[in-house]
Amino acid sequence: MTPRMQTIQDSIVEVIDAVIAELKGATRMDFSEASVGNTLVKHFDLAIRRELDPVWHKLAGKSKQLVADLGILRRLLSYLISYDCVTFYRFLHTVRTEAKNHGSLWLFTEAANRLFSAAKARVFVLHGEPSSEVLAELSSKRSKARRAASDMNPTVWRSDQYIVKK
Amino acid sequence: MTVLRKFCFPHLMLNRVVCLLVQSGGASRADGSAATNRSKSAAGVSKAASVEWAWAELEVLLEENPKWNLVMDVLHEIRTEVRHNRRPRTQTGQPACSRCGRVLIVVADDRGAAQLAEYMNLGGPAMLFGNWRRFLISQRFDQRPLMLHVPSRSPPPADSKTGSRTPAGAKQAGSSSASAIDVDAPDSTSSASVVVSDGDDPFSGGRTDNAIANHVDTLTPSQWESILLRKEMERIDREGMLGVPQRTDRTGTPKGSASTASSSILSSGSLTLPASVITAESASSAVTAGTKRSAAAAQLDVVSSAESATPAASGSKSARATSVAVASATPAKPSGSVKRKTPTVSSTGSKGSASTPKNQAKRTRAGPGTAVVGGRGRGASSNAASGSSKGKGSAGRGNTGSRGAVGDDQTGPSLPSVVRADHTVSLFDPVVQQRMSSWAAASGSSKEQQLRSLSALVLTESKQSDRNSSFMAAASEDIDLTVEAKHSSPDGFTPAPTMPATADDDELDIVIHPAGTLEPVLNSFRPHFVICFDPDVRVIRLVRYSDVWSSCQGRSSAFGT
Repeated sequence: MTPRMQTIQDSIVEVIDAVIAELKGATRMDFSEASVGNTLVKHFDLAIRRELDPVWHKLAGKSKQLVADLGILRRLLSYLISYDCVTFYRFLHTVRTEAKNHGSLWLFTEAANRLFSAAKARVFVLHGEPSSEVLAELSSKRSKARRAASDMNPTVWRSDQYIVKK
Repeated sequence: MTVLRKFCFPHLMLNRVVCLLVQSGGASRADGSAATNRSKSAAGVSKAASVEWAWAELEVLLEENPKWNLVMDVLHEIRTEVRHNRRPRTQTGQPACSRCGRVLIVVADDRGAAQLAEYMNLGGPAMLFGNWRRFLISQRFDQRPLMLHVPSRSPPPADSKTGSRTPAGAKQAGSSSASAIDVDAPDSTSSASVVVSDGDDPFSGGRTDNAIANHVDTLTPSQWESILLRKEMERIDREGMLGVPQRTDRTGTPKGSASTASSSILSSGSLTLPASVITAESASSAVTAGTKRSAAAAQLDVVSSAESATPAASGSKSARATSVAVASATPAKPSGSVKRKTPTVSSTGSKGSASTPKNQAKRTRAGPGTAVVGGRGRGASSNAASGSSKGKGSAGRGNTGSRGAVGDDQTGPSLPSVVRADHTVSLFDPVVQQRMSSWAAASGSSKEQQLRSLSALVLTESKQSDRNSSFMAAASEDIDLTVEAKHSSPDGFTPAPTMPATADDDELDIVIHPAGTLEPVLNSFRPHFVICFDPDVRVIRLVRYSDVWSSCQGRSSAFGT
């Protein structure tokens, strides 16, 4: 594993632990199987789900959400080592959107921040000073855009660009 | 109104968090003296606007999965072992030895199989770059920002207290603008709302560049990221993707990328690859490396699938026309999803075979569910009677004759602008070669430039088909890289090479297969080596094979046959 992958994995494990702790607090149950050590290897989300099955109808929505999050996080763990960085980042992107829609709490942890930034850094990095080139281009584009019709289709614009370039 | 605000609130919270996250990654300030803030000018503030979030460049890293290198190492080990035990071949080209290397790589799922096969076919950088391009396309920068976390810059007009808190991201650092809004109270709400209506979605519709240009100084980091990614995509479109793969091309595993081009990679499931990526990358690799192996990879046929007849089969590919086939065959799926393809034009002189009707005939013979990708580098045969397993070789075959044809001088004015999207485009199509050479003769360019121009040509084609269909469909530009049904030879999976076995000829037949439906492959392919790629794969069922590599167990051999 590369260092970034290690960071991602550690962050995911940390998030998983946080979620499990949250789940323990929410359900007041003790998950013996879901300890820190075996999060990497076991189907711990299924184990938790099995343990919670008798009381599943009594759980609050938040707890169910936590269990679902566990499943997603575990899948992230396996995707990390199976797929390439772009696919992983894409999946993570989707996960983040979903989790945002569901209001998952693990998004707000520090480990999640690390996870996202490391996953992004595997794919691309934004760095450097703001170049005068970019700014000049943007400003020239602004003047051009002000001159041109305001409702120009971007597709048309881009094909125009291409022809001109060619 | 209250309902709206209630729904909006967690959204805003999240926006702020994410912005802070990016901010902690490293922010840099700079003066954008050229740009002025509209709200400031409305407020009469003559101070030079500052760009809070601007990154100069976007460096595309595309880290490889290190496990793939491991697989390459293991394959190399197997290869040397097999080569050591090698015996001469018979006249028909069949390996006389019973112990040629048939390697089965068991992965967890279909996508893993596709990725691994893609990696072995293209090499890591090209594959990652193809994925990167697809990712960029799928984000649809024309339609929406990449990151949806665009902080609302306008306070809700009713609640001034919330409004003073909400300016996140851009206006946080430049507090002067926020205070400016608060100062001239009655007019500021209207001007601020103007900003929001544009800045909320800087990439929506036709206001894209207007919005970017007008709000350079108020862009948030995520917006900057979107802009830079969008620029990256435009650059890829423009330059034909030749920049990045070459930049990172040979840095990654030289052994892997060199050996994979010629190793015969068979995988089940369908590969999806953007056409232009394959052609461009393979062209460049053919030029740079210049070896026979990479040149074999260059001869990928660009096949346009006329997918109109198969609404059920195409699915996401319904709007696409261009496709690349390593071996021109389609999956013989039991669901009856037969995809039509136009005949493959193959043109490699004496060695070219690839008679598509023959392939199709074979395809019908193939059993369901055991379709395997045939990306062989050498399996081509001009011998039609030599068995069905040879039809798969349209991907890589010897290229010397066809390369000679490139150099022919034929005067012609210019590069053809359009290759029809509904026809097969092969890099070594005689028509394309003729055009290429004529164009080269006219412009006096080198062979590398020819290949580049050709890839640009194919790219142009795909771009135009993008434009013709909606741009959004470009996300599904994926192509199936062929699935060829195999195993019709009675004694299993011995694809007979008819090319003379040279020193760099590859002995290995590699099948990548997901672990779920392993039994038919085990029975038909009968591998000598099994590599378990993913830790989820259970090895227990495989113990009757002589050597089993597992990514979690290391090599555990001598299970006994």
